[in-house]
Amino acid sequence: MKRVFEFVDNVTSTGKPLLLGFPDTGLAGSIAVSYMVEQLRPEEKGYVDSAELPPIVPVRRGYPKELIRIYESSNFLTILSELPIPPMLIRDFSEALVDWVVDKKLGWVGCLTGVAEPRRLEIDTPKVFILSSELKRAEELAKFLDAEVFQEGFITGVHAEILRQGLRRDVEVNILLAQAHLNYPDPGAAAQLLTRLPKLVNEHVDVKPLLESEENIRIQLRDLMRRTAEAMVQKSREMELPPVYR
Amino acid sequence: MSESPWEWLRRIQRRMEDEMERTMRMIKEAEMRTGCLMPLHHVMDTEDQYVITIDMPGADKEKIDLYADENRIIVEAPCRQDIPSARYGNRYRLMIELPTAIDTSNIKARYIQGVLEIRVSKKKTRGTKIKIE
Repeated sequence: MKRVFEFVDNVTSTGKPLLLGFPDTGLAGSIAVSYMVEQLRPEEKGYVDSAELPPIVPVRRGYPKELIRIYESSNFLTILSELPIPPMLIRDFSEALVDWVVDKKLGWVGCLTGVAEPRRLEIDTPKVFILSSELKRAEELAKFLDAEVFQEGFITGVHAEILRQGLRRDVEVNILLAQAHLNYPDPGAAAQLLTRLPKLVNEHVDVKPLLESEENIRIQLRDLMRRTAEAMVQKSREMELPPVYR
Repeated sequence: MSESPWEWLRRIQRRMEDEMERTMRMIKEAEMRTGCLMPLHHVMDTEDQYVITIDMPGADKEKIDLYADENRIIVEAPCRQDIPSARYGNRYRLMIELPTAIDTSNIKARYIQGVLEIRVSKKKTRGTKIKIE
């Protein structure tokens, strides 16, 4: 049977971690991964295809691009999505992703994302929380990355399904959640995720330019945030839960 | 031939996507027509007040105009011109219609980290106690 999502790539290396940046709470993961790609310039190694994706072609510096792209650098692989995965297709996408991770024998999956913090306005430096398929691993990472273990609550959306599929397939999944605005692009939260990269995948990204252009990014990403907020509402309607309930 | 549950779900999904596209187009058209940016906003409805947050990066606290009438909040503010993304409009404008009447004498607003937060008290209506026969 033809799958809804197909990975088209020429990734050959094994053992590397895979970092994911999908539009979600405060677009923290999307901003972090797109900025990381911009700064580190990993090689584009493929894309994720589906007939269900909308007819949109992003253009970057004059180059037409795929909506969901796969990159590889010497230390890690990353997948960057320009659009939120449609809520109805999250399960299909997550299954296909975990199959691909197993097939490519990747080391582990790291989801970079945000967790809605109602009092975000009062917070200068957002905290980062860790949720892993194994509590022991979460505790290790939290200590190592100066973060806290995500103790109680619900995770919804694409990262929740990837975690679930990872648990079932014995694939290590670690979710890094930075406190973020729920409905507004949050480059400050993305910067907190990026500051954990040196210890996480041995790569350094200077977040100063990101924070300096914060206002510009927030205006630029209004449309993506609107689409993402709508997708999050659809998902939470299905579950009768707020998008992130803590 | 009857529709399968999968086809039905896809049809609903596509309808929601179409609705989203229509909304996005309406926002873009309004922004191009008025030259004003429509900021992202969120309204939280609590028991006795509405807590409205509006994302307005690059605005100046002193230059934000905030108006309120019976059940509407109107916000206008210039946006700094040196922000490249503000090229489609260098002014924020937003009108929010609230579901109930508001107490315009009891509104508090603050602007932090580029977000305008407005706390609007709901107008108190005194109900009449009805005796059950």
